[in-house]
Amino acid sequence: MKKTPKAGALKRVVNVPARAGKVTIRKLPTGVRGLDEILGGGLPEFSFNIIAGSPGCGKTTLAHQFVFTNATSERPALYFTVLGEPAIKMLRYQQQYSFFDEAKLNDSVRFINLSETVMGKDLDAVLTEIASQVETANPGVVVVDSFRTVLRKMPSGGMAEMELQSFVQRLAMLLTSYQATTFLIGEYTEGELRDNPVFTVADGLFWLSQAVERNSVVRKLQIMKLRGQASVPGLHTIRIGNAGLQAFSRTLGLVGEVEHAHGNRRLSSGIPELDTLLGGGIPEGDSLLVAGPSGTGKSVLATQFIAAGLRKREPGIIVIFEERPVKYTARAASLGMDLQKELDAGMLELLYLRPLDLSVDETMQEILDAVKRTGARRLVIDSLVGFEMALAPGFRMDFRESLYRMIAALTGAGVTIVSTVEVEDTFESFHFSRYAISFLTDDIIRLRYVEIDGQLRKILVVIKMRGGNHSKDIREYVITEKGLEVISPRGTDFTRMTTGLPEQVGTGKEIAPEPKALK
Amino acid sequence: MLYITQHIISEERLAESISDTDARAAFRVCEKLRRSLSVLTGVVGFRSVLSRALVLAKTKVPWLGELRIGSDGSLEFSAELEARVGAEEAARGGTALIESLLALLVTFIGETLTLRLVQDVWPKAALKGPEYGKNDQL
Repeated sequence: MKKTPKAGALKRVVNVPARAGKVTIRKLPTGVRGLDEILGGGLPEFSFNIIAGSPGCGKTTLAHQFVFTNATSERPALYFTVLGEPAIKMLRYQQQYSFFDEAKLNDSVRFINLSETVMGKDLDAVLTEIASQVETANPGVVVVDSFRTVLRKMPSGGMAEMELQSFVQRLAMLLTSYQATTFLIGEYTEGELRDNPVFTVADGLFWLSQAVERNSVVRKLQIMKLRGQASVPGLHTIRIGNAGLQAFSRTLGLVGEVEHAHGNRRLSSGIPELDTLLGGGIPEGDSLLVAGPSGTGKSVLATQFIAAGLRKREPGIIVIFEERPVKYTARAASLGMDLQKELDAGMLELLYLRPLDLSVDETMQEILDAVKRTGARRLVIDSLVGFEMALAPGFRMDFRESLYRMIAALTGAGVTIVSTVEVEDTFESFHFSRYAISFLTDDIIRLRYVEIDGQLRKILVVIKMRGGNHSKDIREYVITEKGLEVISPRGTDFTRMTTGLPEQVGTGKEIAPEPKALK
Repeated sequence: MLYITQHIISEERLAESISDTDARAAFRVCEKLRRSLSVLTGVVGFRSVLSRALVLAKTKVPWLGELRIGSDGSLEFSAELEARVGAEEAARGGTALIESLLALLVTFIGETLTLRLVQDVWPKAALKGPEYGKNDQL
């Protein structure tokens, strides 16, 4: 896997001016890759937000990323710690992340321990202490971690809720008046959401969760509330890595992407006879599925498609899950395609995505990033089965939905996709794949084995072309040192080819395309 | 950390009258660190780290065992105690304590952040980045 870009490489948050007379709410970058897009462009300035969730979800890390991204010497960040993770340990661990900038400590990022005030005094004293620090430091960002601990000072009983609401409102008023963007961090359960005054007062509510699915852990983020702007609804996958949190929007960052008008251009598959069967090649911007059992040459066909593009100086991407890159390029070289040269030249990227705990959205993001990086016009996914297997079990149920979104977005942008899928051949039926094909693909080529004259030979047929007419012929092919080659039409007529056990109906004699063993 | 410890003690001594001693300067260093670090760690947090530093320093300078840490994390160091153990031994004790305290901070949060926190208290001290005084024995 390639490293995720550092916070400094984040997409710039664009602040669009409001119409005359209306207030412009500036959107602050969160420092969390993918989160600004989920929030609808960034976090509203001066907003009062809650980061809630169970332990270990990344609440503190998210707050730190925001703090280090936005704090300046003139408008520092005040990070109040309260009886949670000791500050020394927090610094010990957080400095491991790439966003942590030591130079900002005690200058633009200031940690203040409120434990003694919280333990020894009442909520008014806590508010007074925060107010005093805020007045002195003039912060642009304020974090209270953990706010839940502060509220444990609340007496129980009928007046408690009123007192809590009053405290939260006074705190919100204070921090907003001082033009600070605020995060309160707390460990809450979903059952506490209802009628909780803290959530009522908050402008934004970030809900982090993690679920264990068999052997993998899936972390999710939901923007349950965000005043003033539209955020992307639903649960978004998050991952904690060296760069801190990274969020993977359910829309894969494709909201607002411009759909390219498709022309009538046909792309060569790299196999002239197959192009003829396809009615002149693969329509640009189509998603083509090559289905067939193991060993029928799906990867060979896909590689030839990429190689044909490279010969025309069209950048390409091959995403592989099963075969290692070295073996993949070596096999291509044995078929006369020098992929290494193109890899070195930056015309081709070979993404090898193998880890077994990938989330579907982050895998999609890797692919989308590569497409943007290279300007690829051709993409091969080899194979969909390997793709699904590389995902953590908990993500597999989202696979089809996410794959559909990605394919739709990429083909909409004019990228032509060839995906391979392994199907098990039986000698009774003719499956395409277990995936919902009509949603995923415009065109389908089916490869299969047939038994003819004591040999297990290979045939292919174009099943479907959404964009136009195509040949219905079932053609035999061989894999030679030049790749997949469709051989001349048969001299002998057969029927029931698709069963794999054809019956000869003609009388013509023919020579086997690949020599039979001598008797 | 010995070099940095000696550096800030010397810096602190220069700031005071000529009659100041290294021991008194060392305990003022400790007090200034308490005030600064308690903001970050809380009183309880600072007291814990200082207690550990005292235990470690005591193995080198046994008379440090006579010191008691107050509830606010402060240390009582009197002129009588200094007179009793002797100026040179008192200075050795003060240095050992500060050295242990800084070494503990380095262990927990690393040299860069530790130097940064020290620099906040003595902004004019010419402290450098990581590996400063790396040949010191921690």
